[in-house]
Amino acid sequence: MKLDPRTKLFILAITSVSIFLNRSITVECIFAGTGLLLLALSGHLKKTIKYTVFFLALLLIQLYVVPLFPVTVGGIVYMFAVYIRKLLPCFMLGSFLIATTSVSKFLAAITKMRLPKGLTIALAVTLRYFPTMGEEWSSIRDAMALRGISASPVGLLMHPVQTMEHVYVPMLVSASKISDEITQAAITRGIEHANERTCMENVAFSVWDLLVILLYIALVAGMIYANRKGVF
Amino acid sequence: MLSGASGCGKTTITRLVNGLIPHFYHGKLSGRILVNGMDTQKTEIAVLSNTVGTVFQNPRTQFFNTDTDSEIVFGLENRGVSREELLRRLSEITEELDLHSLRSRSIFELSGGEKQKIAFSSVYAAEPDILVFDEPSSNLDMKSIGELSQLIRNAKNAGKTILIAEHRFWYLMDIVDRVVYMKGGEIVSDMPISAFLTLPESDMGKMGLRVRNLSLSEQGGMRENISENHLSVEDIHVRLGGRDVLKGASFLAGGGEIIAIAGLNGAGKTTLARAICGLQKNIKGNVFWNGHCLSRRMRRGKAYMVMQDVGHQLFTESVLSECTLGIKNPDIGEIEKILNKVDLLEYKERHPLSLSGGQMQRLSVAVSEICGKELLVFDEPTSGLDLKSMEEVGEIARMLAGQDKVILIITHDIEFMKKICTRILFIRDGKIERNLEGEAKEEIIDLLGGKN
Repeated sequence: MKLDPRTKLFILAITSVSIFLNRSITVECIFAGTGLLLLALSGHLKKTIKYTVFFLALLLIQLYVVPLFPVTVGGIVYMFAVYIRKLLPCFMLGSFLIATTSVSKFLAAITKMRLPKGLTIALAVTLRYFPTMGEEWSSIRDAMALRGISASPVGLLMHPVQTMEHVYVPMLVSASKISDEITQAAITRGIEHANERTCMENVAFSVWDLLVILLYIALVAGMIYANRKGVF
Repeated sequence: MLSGASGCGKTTITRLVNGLIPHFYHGKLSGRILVNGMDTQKTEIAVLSNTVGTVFQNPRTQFFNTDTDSEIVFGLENRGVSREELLRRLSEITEELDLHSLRSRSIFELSGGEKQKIAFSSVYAAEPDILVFDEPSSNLDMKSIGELSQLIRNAKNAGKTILIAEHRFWYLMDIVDRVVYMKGGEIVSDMPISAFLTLPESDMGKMGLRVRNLSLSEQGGMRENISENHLSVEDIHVRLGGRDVLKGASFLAGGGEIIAIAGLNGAGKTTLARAICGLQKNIKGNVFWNGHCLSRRMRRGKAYMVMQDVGHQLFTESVLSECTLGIKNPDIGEIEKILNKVDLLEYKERHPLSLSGGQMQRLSVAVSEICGKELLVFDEPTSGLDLKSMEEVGEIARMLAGQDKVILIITHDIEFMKKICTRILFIRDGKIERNLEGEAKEEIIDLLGGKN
């Protein structure tokens, strides 16, 4: 099953909006389940398992752990558990998009949407930056370890501001440098050509795209119904 | 070939030719640049890109796609070439440049040399008349440089106009026809290669240029003092992603030595350095410091790595606060003394990332000293550096060695190894295979060239 990049963008957009309008946990689970299914079908089982475990853990925390705490502490834990969990379906579809879409196909597809050239290039540079970010992050973590600064979750909890700063400063610098270099490489190879670009791979909607889009429209309809009726 | 010290304007010239100036970098520009009769200021960069192809310095960031096939045809896709034509050109270029083993691969699993080959192929596939190279060899090992020079030679034989800005000359000496020497933004001389080759060695030094022939570079780096400190690395094994990267690497090193760790890409240099610094998990084998076995945690306390992207290891907003980061009750007097030693005292209020590359390297060294590190590993400290900057790195290494520290330097830079390092450890296939000292250091050229 290969989806068109436009479909992936569309379902990502729908999910991002609906997940915050939604008030039902059941509907949220269905959104998450669909995202997980797409990830699993595309062969990224490790990611699927990670997200499943994380999602379920946060769900169980909300349902069974929060009631055990006094209201003040419970409120804070509740906030973290629920808001991070609400973002998870978007993260799932985001990593599905990044993991399964070649930049060239993405460009070809969004060019067809007739968006302004500057925007399409910026979107493509963003998509291209993610895998490199992983490489950058591991070398920054090494540098922190040698200075005795911990980048672990424990360190983040103990000194949140400090740890964030030590991660963000070098990450931002490397991001701006890398995106600059990627952009230069792209424009010296004619990415700004005015004509419609071609693509070696075939970019077109298939019956799968139709099915997935219908599924998401149905999900939105279900969400509206659930909100009205106050489904759990 | 465009030659000259760092900051002389070589890269600026390449950007004028490919149109990055004025279309990407804005500033005040006067004069006129004509490329194949097109005025670059009035021509769109997309149109220029049909004629001029550029290969950049950093193999990691000149890709737009994450798989090799799409990358090779990227330029053609931008032009709107039909799919049949794309596929035809892809198989044609595969034959012409012998890319069979590189087809349909993920960019992220390629070595630096392979990436640079794909970068070249993708530029070449678009059939530009003019090829511009901006220090293309900076991040490559010797074998990959050999392959790069073969690619450039092919392009020359195909009748392309080629412009190369470069610090390393030795691999180009039998390809280049003309050498332009620049200084302080001006073209000082424009000579045929025959004249360049007959320049006396002393003039090259004065011009700040690096050697033309590696076997003629001067030998230095005699070991001066034998000290108390010693590092013993014993039988290190590391397995990564199902592959044995290190298979029993062992060596001894003493304080005061400057030891180069050399080998082709993928031989295990970086993994060895990470293991010694305590950054690599799940290693087998031991590291001893003055006879005491060091745990992974203790190694992180003892060792410091000056990274190739030195900006990754600077975290704060001033040079001084960088030096006090993570130190309880810092002694400002002592810190200023150390900053003075590396010529950074006057910059103590500056943002670390506003410093030059060499200054950032020195700041990193100062930090290691303040943290009391006794084992320093440099990762490719001289890649892309001119003669003067390379010698400055050498000075720093000598200064540190003079304080009884153990200095390990991962490098591809043969001139640097010969001039500065006291010893070369040649690593191949996960083991330290040779230990070269004195006259024997000469052998490294053949070893890295893939012979023997």
